[in-house]
Amino acid sequence: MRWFEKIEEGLLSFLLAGMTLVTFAQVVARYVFNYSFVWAVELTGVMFAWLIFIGMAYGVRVGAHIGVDAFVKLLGPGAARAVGAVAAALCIVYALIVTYGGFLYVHKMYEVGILMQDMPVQQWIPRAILPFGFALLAFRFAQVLYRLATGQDAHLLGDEAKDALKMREDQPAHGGAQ
Amino acid sequence: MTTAILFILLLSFMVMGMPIAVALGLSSLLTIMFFAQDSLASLSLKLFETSEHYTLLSIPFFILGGSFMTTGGVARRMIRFANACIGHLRGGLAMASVMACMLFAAVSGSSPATVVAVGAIVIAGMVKAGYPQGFAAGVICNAGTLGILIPPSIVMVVYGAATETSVGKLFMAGVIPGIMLGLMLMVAIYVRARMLDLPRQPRASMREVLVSGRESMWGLALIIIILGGIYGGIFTPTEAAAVAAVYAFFIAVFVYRDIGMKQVPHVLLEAGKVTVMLMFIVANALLFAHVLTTERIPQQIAEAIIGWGMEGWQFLIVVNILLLIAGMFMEPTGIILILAPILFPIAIKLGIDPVHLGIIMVVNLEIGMVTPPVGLNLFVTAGITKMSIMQVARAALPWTMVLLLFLVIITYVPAITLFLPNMLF
Repeated sequence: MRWFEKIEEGLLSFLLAGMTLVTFAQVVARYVFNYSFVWAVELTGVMFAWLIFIGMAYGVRVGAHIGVDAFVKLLGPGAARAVGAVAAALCIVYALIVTYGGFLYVHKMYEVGILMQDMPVQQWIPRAILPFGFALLAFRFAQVLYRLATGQDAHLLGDEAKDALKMREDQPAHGGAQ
Repeated sequence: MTTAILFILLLSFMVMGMPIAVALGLSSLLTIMFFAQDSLASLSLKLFETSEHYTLLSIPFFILGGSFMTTGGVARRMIRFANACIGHLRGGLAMASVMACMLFAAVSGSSPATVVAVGAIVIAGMVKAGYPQGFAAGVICNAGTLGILIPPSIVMVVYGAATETSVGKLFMAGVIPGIMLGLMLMVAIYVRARMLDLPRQPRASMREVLVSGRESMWGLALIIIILGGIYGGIFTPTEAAAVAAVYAFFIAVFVYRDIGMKQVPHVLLEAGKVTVMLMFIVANALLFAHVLTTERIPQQIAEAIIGWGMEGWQFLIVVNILLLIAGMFMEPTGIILILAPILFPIAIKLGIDPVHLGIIMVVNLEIGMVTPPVGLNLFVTAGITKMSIMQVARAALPWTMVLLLFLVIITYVPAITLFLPNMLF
């Protein structure tokens, strides 16, 4: 699985860098070369969609999604794990509903066969990321459920405060020196 | 009936500790599947359409620009400049920290990011200089909320997208209130510092002020690019955000040289992670708002409130109370996307300016970030200081009173908000 995670992370970085550079290039082209790429906005939109719908599942893997865990933390460890497992199961239901709906939609687009507005690409191709991304999301939630059930993990959510701090590893925080 | 079920599902899912995004999405999907005729395909398309919203496209760019600024030593230079300017006053270190938050807020669109960037350095510094830790943590926790009031602001972008209000006008409208809140916090610190007899720093030489000012100029130029570019009609807010992200990269890597090319992929991935977390909430909150609209909830509430003969000022009290409560439990972006479609039409009918309503919502959500149980700034401050969330919440409370006073002023003196956008646009 490690190779898949590498590709996932590389792809997310690439998509974000790509959409930034395309939009930037659009501005430069307009003012410096008095020229405008007709496909720029549409391409950026596709990259944005791929970033979001591939990234959701990555967010589950690294515990980036925020939620309210104040109430669950009031429960005992056993009860908290049980509630967490039910919540994870509901998350899987959610992901599967959208996977199915997304598949129906993409299938319809495939049959109709319209092209995108500014790019010579079939409309269904960029949108196929929707069922794919949500299927991946369901898989990641299933992994969380498995870890909760086998007791390897105590909580469904990550810890966003710890996360925000990781961005500043270069300057370790040292309070409490009073 | 349908609405009651929608909200009951949402609340139960959230209490169970499901991610906010999934709680919003699943409650909407289940409600629609049982009570309406929308096909699953069209609902999935609704989620996809989030990525086609041109205004929302600026969010990843603002986050990326902010990440380069946070990772680099931009905050450190701004803190040095702020200390050189006002560090010699009584309580000057704390006042300079507020000023550094104001400066950093002008390059970052997020409040927790502002707390982390500035707080990680100044809280330890203040404690070393003899300030009580609670004092330092409380000040930074509140001053960090300026991140979403002083432009650029991700919360304002989301409000602009939800209500089709000009993001440029909203950004301009945040400038004067942002400076005003910063000054109010500084005055409160000065008063408190005299009571506690807190130390002052030696006065910095004029040379130090100029040198540190020139050093931080590179970072501060970012806000000039954004506001000047949008106001001058050079580019759209989305393009401004992309230009700002490229500029921030350039400054961090080539001018300040705080990060090397090798760390750039890491910064990109971190920014991507924050973007995805936020956009996943946005997509599902838009689906939730879609359910509310198909059920005609906003119209019904609007008719009811106007039927009661409520005046504008009374309505604004209701708005403030509602947002303060919502802010305690939910994250700002979700609140804006759910409540703006309900509050906006009523405000328009009562003659309240859309830009004014937007700033009122932002200030309420700032307070929501420092009130438990869900307050992102509290979590982050607790993480930096190793204090418990409740200790931070208690330390933050006196300064949150300043925010509440500020909220009342902003709500009932629209001129503070509207002066700049009305003059410029």
